[in-house]
Amino acid sequence: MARILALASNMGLWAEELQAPWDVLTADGHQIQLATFKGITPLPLAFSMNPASIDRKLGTPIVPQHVFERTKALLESGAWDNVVKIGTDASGASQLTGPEMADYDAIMIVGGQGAAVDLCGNHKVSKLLVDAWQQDKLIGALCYGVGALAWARQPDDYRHSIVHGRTIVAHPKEWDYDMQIYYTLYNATPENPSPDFQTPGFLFPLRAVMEDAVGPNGTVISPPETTRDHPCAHYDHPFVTALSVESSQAFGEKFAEVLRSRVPAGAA
Amino acid sequence: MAKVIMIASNLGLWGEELQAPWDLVKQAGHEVTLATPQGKMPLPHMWSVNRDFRDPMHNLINIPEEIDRCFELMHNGEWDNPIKITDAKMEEYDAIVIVGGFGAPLDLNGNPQVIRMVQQAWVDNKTIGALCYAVGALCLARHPDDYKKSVLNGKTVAAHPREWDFRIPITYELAEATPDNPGTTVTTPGFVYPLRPLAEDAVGDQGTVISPPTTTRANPCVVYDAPFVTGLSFESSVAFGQKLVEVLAT
Repeated sequence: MARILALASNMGLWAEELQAPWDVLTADGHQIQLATFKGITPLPLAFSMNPASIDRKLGTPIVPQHVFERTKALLESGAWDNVVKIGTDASGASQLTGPEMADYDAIMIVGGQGAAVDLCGNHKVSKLLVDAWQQDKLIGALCYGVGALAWARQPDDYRHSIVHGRTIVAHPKEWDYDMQIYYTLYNATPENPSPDFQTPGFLFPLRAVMEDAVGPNGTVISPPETTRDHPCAHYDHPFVTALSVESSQAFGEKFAEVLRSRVPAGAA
Repeated sequence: MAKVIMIASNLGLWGEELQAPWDLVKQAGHEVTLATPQGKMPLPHMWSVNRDFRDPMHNLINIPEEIDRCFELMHNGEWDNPIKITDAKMEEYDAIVIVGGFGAPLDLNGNPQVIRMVQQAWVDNKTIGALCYAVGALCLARHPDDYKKSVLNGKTVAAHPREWDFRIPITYELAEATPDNPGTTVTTPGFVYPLRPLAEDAVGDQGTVISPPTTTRANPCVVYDAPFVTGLSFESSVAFGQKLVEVLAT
C-alpha cells in the first residue's frame, strides 16, 4: 500500500479527473491524502458536474451520468473534506509549511482549468515535485496538472525542467479553448467560493509549455483523436502523464499499475 | 512615425509599466493604440500606485511622479477607451508592445488573440516589445511552421528574476475599481507561474535569458534582440520605453 499525496485545485477541478483516479487507487488499497492551495475541499467545476454538458470544443457529451453520481456521493460523504493546505515554500528560510514528500510514496496532480491558476506555478508544488524527483518517487499528472512538471526545475540546473528530455503527455492544442472560460464551482459557498473572473481560454497553452520543457530531445504525446475508448496515458519513469478528462480512468489505472510494480502486494 | 499597439491587462497592470513606455513612445511622435482583453481601462494594481509600497523581494519603491502621471493618464481620457484585443488586427500596426503586472499571466500571456498577434508580427518582422511578466506571451507564441518552437527559440531575452518572484499569496485589487471594471478577488499562491523557467525553456539551449536580480532604476535591464525588445520588471519601465523609441526610429 502506498501513501499518495493528491493535489487538486480550489479554483476549478474537473470532477472526473479526481474521482476516477481516486476510486481506482483507493480500490487498490492505497491511502490518498488530498492537498489544495486553500486547504479546503476541491470543489469541481459546475460544468464538470452536469451530465447535460457538451464539450464546447468537440461538441460531444463530456460528463457521464455515473461520474456525476459518484462524484456527488464522494462530496456528500465528506471523503474530499480531509484536505491539507499545500502551504508555502519560503525557499531557504526555515519556515516551510504544508506537506513534505518524505511522508509520501507518490504524488499526483489532477486537472481542470483551476489547476493552471493555483497549482501549476505554485512554488510549494514545484518544491514537492523536485523532492519527489530526487527521492525517486512516482509522479503523476493529468491534463492541465501536467503544467506543474514544467516549472519544477532540476536542483542543480535551473535552466532545465525535471521533464527535460522525457516523454510526456500534454493536452492537445486542438482542444485549447479560444473563448472566454468560467470557473463556476459546484455547490460553492461563501467559504469556498467560485473565482470571480473569466479568462480568454486556459491560462497557457499546455502543449507549447511542455514542448519547450522537454526540449529537442524529449517528446510530447498529444493526439487530438484521443477518446474514452482510446485514452492516452504514458509512463516514462518516474512520470505518469495523461491527456485530459477522457483519460482519467486510464491515468488512474496506469498509476496503479506502476505502483503495483514498485510496491509488491503485501509489502508494507 | 510608427503605429504601435500597446496591450495591457484588465486584472492587474503595473501602472508604471504602461505609463512610462506610453509617454515615451507618444512623445517620440508615434501613434499608440491601447488594447485590453475587456476593452475597458487597464486599471493599475493598488500596490503599483501606492506611495508607501516597497517591494518585499528587492526593496524597490514607486516614484511619486510616476504615480501622479499614472493617475493623470487615468483621468485625462487617454486610457479611457481601449479597443478590445479581439478587435485588433496586427496588419494595421507596425509594432506590438505588451506590458506587465500581476494580471498579465491571467488575461494576456495565454490569450489566443495576443499569441496570434505576436506570431503575425514575428512573421512580418515587426518590432515586438514585452515588459516584465508579459514576456511570457512571447514564450507561448510559436513558429508558424513548427509548433515545437517558441518564436523566442535561440534568442536573448530579459526575464523577471526568480529571486524576485513572490513566495507569498498575491491579491489583485485595482486602483479606482468600479462595479463595471472590478478586477478579481482571486488570490494566487504567488505569480501565476515563474517567468524565468518559462523563458529558459522557450529560448532553449541556444538562447540566453538575462535575469540579474541586481537590476535597479539606476541600472535597468532591457535587451534588444531583433525583433524583440524585452525588459526585466517595473524598475526598467523607462529604459524599456527608451529602447522601444530607439528601435522604432531605425
